[in-house]
Amino acid sequence: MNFDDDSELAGKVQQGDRNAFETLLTRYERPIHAFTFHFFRDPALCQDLTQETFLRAWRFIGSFRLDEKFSTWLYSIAKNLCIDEIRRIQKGTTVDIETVDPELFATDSDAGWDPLRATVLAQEGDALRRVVDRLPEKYRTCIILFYFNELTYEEISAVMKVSLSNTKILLFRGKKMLLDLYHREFSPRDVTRG
Amino acid sequence: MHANGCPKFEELMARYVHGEILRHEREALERHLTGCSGCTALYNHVVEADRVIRALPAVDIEPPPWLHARIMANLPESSRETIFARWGSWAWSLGATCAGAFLAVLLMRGGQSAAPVRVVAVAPPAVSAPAAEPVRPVPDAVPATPTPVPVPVAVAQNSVPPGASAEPEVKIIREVKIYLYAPSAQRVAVTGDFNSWDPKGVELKPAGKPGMWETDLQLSPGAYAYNFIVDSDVLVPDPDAPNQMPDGFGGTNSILLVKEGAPA
Repeated sequence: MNFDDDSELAGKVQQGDRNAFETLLTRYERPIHAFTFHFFRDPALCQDLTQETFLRAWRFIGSFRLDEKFSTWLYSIAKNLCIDEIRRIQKGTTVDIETVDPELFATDSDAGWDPLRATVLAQEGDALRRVVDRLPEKYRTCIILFYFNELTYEEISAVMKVSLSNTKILLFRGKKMLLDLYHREFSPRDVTRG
Repeated sequence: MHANGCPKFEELMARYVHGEILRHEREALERHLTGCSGCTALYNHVVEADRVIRALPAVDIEPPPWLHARIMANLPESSRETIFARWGSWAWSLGATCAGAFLAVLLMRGGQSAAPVRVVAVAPPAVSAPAAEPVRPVPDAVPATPTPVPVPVAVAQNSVPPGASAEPEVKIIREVKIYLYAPSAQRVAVTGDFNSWDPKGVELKPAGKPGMWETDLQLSPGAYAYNFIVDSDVLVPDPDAPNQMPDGFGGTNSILLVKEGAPA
């Protein structure tokens, strides 16, 4: 699909054009919903977050610069809403994502590896997603945007408001952390680890 | 397994993995990898992570078909007005529904302190329709799982302010059919803003289909918060209502939007 006219449509929305907004809604409703779904997998919550993303886009369209990419601007809104929701769920507990050792994110898995549980979860394709849920916010956001929403490095960089180089470092660290947690939780090797 | 490489090579390796590295940097890194087991393990680790994530099966994550209409229905009239004007009558109606729900739940809890009052997301399949579609046919066969109902929403717009017109006021009443599939229920009622959250509610009658209950409400156009009362003591939101909102107590109120239009 060619979204070259996103900015043109956004310009019309800035003039109050509801039809232009609806065209953008039609284009981006699905990817934004998918993005929220990879965060929460709660249908009602994801519908609310998707709706709120677009309502905010409508409300704050005046702050959109026409030389920006509309999709990344929209993803930024969704990302902020998702992070707010995560923090609300965590009830204000804060985590310093730069200093936390991935070890700390393994909560109950060291008690013993349950092969049946691991098999069931893995078969459902759910195991890795559960691990993604446990990544710190910005690594999780990067992983979701890159692998599930298939954004480019440049787009992720714009959404995350970090440099291209830092985007790649975030992805690199996120993947390392992800597989550490995954192996810790689902690998038989952990059984013998002591 | 934990793979920890040399910190000073992390950025280089990140760019190496993600395809942004100069030739001399790549050569230096590859030389380093041949002699550093930690960095080699880290590289293999991240490459494996990439493979594992890409192998994830796709998930069906289509938004429900009514979400588009719900968003457009909830769109304020203008994107550039003030907060109050932006939300306009919607904010007032939803604010009123919040207040109504708040008071109602307070009253109901006060009267039934020993019984659980609110149950969330355990409702049996239920469907409700505003009067824009005066009578929605009840399915011939009761579905095993609820089917999302296409959004029947509309927002009253461009209403004439009171006193702005010299013409006699015409009160529009729409007939709304409410129905609920609750095969194990002995009694079903609906309560909400329209009856000031009367704890007894408006009773639903058996609809002629096994497990299906229904009633008709006469409502003016607007937004109404509502819930079902199942077996006299459990408030249940309509899980298929396209609009839901928190009730302020961790529960959910369903929102019924009644279109403005020609009188029924």
